[in-house]
Amino acid sequence: MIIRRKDLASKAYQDLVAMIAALPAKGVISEAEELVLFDILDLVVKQNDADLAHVLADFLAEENAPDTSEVDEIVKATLMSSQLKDQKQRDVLINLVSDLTKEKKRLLEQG
Amino acid sequence: MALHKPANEILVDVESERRVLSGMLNSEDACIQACDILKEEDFYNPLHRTVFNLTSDLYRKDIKPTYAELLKEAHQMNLFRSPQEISELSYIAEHFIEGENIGYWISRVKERARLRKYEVFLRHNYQKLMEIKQESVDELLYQAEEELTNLTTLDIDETVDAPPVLATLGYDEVERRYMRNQEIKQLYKGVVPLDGLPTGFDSLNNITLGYKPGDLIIVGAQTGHGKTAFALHTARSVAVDNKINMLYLNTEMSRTQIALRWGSILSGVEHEKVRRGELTSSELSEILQGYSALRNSGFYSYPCPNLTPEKTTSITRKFKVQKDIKMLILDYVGRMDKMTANFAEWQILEQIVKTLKMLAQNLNLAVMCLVQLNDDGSLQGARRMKNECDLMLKLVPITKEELAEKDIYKKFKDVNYRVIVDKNRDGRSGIDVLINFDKERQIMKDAVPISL
Repeated sequence: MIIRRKDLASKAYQDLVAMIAALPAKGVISEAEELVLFDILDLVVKQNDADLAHVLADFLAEENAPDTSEVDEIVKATLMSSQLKDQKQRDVLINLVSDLTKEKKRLLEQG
Repeated sequence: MALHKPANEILVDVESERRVLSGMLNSEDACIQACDILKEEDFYNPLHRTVFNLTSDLYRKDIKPTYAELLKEAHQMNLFRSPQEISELSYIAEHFIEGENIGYWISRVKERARLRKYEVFLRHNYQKLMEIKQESVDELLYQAEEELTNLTTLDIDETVDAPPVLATLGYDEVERRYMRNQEIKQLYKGVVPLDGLPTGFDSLNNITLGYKPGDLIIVGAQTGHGKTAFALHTARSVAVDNKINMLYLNTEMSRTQIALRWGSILSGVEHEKVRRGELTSSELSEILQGYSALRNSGFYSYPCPNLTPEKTTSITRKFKVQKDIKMLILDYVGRMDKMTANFAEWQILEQIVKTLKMLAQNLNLAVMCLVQLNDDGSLQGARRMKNECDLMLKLVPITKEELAEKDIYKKFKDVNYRVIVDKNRDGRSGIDVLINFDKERQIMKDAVPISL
């Protein structure tokens, strides 16, 4: 039987899902974190909605420092407690992460 | 001598099972078809059964069953933790082929499941053969034949009803109706119990006993004579007043137009005023209350200007799976896209009507289909349509001359329309139901007799 792969994006999606699924067993992330990662992945790949992924990428692009750890914790806690399938909650989260990215930059510049 | 194929090769097709599951994780159409046709036990591989169950459940909950969603669901149930299971899932998810004929893979899975049942039949009957007593040969063969007949019918879940089974079924059904009738006569003082969904008219309820699952109801009217009003009146009775889930497919009106109609129907405020926004504050408040009833109703609307019979089947199956709808209203059939360009109009109508009848029976739904009457009140392809349907209604306005001439109309306060029951498979036909149609408010109701 000839097996053809749909395309590279699809393959990348399957690989990412499998990779995320393996992480809790290795103790790298918790199961709750696994669910959030799945939601973000589906948002980007299946719903073509990369807004949240973009602001998170911007946030992560900033280097970490002891002064910014509190901001990191706030973003993570908000991310974990939000219903990412809900557009309104997602919009609130996007605004919050954008604001906190600016705050993180400000703290880094000060420090 | 030819070598025998290993039994597993004949009875199991793991690759087809994977293709079906992969399709379900990537295509809504595949999901609809698989949920409709397959059952958990049609899959041989236990992991495939679980994947099928989880995927179907997600789809029924209106969650797009992606690979990630499947794993989320599975992990919450502590399933699919081993590397072997993850590897099999990964294989399934990544081997989806766009545009592939999912029907082919579903039929292969179904066929292997039937072969496995056949194998069980053979084993079971071989065992019986080994234990047979001389006097029970006829009985053994009769039982085997009945079992085999059930296996060879197209749908393996259908069984052939033997005379005693059918007689018991008939008796139980009559007894159930008798008991219910007695009970309702006592409770509701003579109001006839319905077998199906309420029609929205007491007089039509009495004649039809409601729109029943599996029924195809054809409603004909000339242009501008209340087809959509009748459809929405039915929808109000089923979905708003009784909160039963139903699907409304409209080929002519936009979402906004449908929403505005509801404002008028549910508030009793004239439609033109609603349309123009020329409302008093109390009318606005009534309209808001009306929409609140719609918000809590079971009315699902799908405006679709280029509806085809295939799309109708697909969307109806989807809503059956996800919302357990009990009724489909198609408003209206004349605007459906043609399947075959070189067909005559009546042939196309016949095909559409046949499709709708099959849909009603297969999904156990009441399907109402609105059609347009010719200027002379006749229906194109009427005989063929009449053959297919269970109930044919014609909505006809009563002229001023008729109102003045006919005594029967003088016995009612506000009659201005009649619903002709042209065919009624389960009851009386050739009779008129007299109604009032308030065009300004798009509201229909039973005509009220003048009390003597």
